[in-house]
Amino acid sequence: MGIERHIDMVLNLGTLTAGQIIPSIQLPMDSDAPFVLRALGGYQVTDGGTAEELIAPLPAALLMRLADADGNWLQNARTPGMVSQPQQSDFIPMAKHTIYPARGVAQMEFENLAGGTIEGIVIILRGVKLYPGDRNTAPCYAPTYPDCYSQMTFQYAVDFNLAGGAADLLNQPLAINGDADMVWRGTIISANFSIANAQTNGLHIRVRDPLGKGYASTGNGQAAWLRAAWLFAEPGKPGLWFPELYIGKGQQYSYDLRNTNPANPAAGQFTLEGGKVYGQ
Amino acid sequence: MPTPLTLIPETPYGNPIAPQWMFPDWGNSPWCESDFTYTFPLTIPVAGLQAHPLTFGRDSEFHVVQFFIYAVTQSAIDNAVEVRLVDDVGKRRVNAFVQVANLNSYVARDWVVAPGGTQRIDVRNLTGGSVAVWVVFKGRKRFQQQACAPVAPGFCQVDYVPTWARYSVAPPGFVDEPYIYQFVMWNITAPVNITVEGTPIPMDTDAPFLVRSVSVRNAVVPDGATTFAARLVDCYGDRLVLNVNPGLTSNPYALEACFAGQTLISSFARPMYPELVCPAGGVMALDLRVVATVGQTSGILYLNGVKRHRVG
Repeated sequence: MGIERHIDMVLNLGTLTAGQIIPSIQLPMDSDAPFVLRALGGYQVTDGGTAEELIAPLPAALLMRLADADGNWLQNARTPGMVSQPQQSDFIPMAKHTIYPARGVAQMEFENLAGGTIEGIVIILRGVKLYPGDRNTAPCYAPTYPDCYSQMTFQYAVDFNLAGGAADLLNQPLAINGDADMVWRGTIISANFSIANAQTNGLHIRVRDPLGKGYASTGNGQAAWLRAAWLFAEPGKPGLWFPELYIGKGQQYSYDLRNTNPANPAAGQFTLEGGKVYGQ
Repeated sequence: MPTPLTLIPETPYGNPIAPQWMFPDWGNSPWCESDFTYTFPLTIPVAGLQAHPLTFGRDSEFHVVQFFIYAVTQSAIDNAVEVRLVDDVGKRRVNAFVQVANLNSYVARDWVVAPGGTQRIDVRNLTGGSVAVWVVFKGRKRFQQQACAPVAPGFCQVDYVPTWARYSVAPPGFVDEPYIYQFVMWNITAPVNITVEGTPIPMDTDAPFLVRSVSVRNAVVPDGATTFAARLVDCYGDRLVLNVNPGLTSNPYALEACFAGQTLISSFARPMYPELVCPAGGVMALDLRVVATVGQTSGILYLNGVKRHRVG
């Protein structure tokens, strides 16, 4: 029995001009554990770093091809619609998962047939890392349900307010009450109406467990920023973790925030959707 | 009074609130399988009925999970290109020509293509000009190899269990009836940014109610925004949200803005897991705060779930 732990492997691809082909680009895997790829996602950021920056789904005409750990392509040709999804936080499941060893490489190629430049492309390989051992011995934060327990639906809400162009807000505590464990299953984000020009498109986030290990990586152990508006989502379909994140009572997660919108504040609230778990 | 308990049939490690389609069966298999996608670039001229054979690889059989047709300008073909799928023995997989927009989807169950097999699509192009498309079959290759490892050695698969499968079921002598409570909140007049607590939400007295999803809609403009925040309090006085960082308000229990929508009114209800148990005749409460001086302050709260009736 091993432990599966949610991870997003992030490739910041940047800009592709019309017709441009990137024949080979490699995303290195972290060295701490094998990675199991289960879904693909992505978004584009237009006018990044300006007051007008927006997050949008990637067009279907961004063609993509992906290889397994041995370099075998998983598509017979560059394929449209591999990472385009109608709504933020959506991701496209693989029909069968693909395992990359620790320090392995995921090779990809891209082609832009959208007829215009695609700016600020971010590709996300979503899956889990595999850690050896069980809930007590795994070399990662891995508490779980007690043998006998009850659950109550519950949400923790977190307000945020970063002025436009503000410095990064690092190591913010996300403490769980001491009365019960918390199962964090999804996240909803919204801007705050009562603050002028409040927006969430410019907000980036990094979340870490109590041991300081993050849930997104650009490979080689580098923690990745992800746009909160993509990672989180709306009430009908909260941005999901899979598997869910289990947090022991009284434990403290932490998060970093960054606002790349130079003019407008990133202000609002995100809520941790899930449940309290009471041991018997 | 203690919080009502929800019985959980087994210890989960997946994520029960995830939509089921997002988590296909990744389980162990005696076969060696790999994710694979076949993409066939195709130019469809303007003409009547055309048949395009598509030949698959000879190295393995292929199980189609999803089928779709893409064009650079998708909207141009969605309603003007019609398709009929035919398998390698000439059997139709669609009984008539279907518009592309209505055909792009996951297939209902595995659709197997033999090694080196051919599928055919019959096409009618009604766009008035030739179109370049990609015909895409997503799925998995299945090899007749042994001793392969669908999961890394020493690891088990984390199973996906959908929400509906883990809600409680009616015990013997009871029956569940789908039910929706609707509460209209008309012209909320609370002062801006002041919390009004304890708006009662009374339940019927005929049966306990199990809340399984919740949503708030604008009462006047469909899909319009509301300008209030809200927090549910269950029938036992438990607030169901806690703000751990109330930086935007002096209220130590800031309301959950997202729950009530603000800009995030959703056509879909927010899943509630585990379900929230409300006894017959119980009274839930809603804490409200108007968060803007302009805009709509009327809303409708929907509680979607089941009533659990005793039989007889």
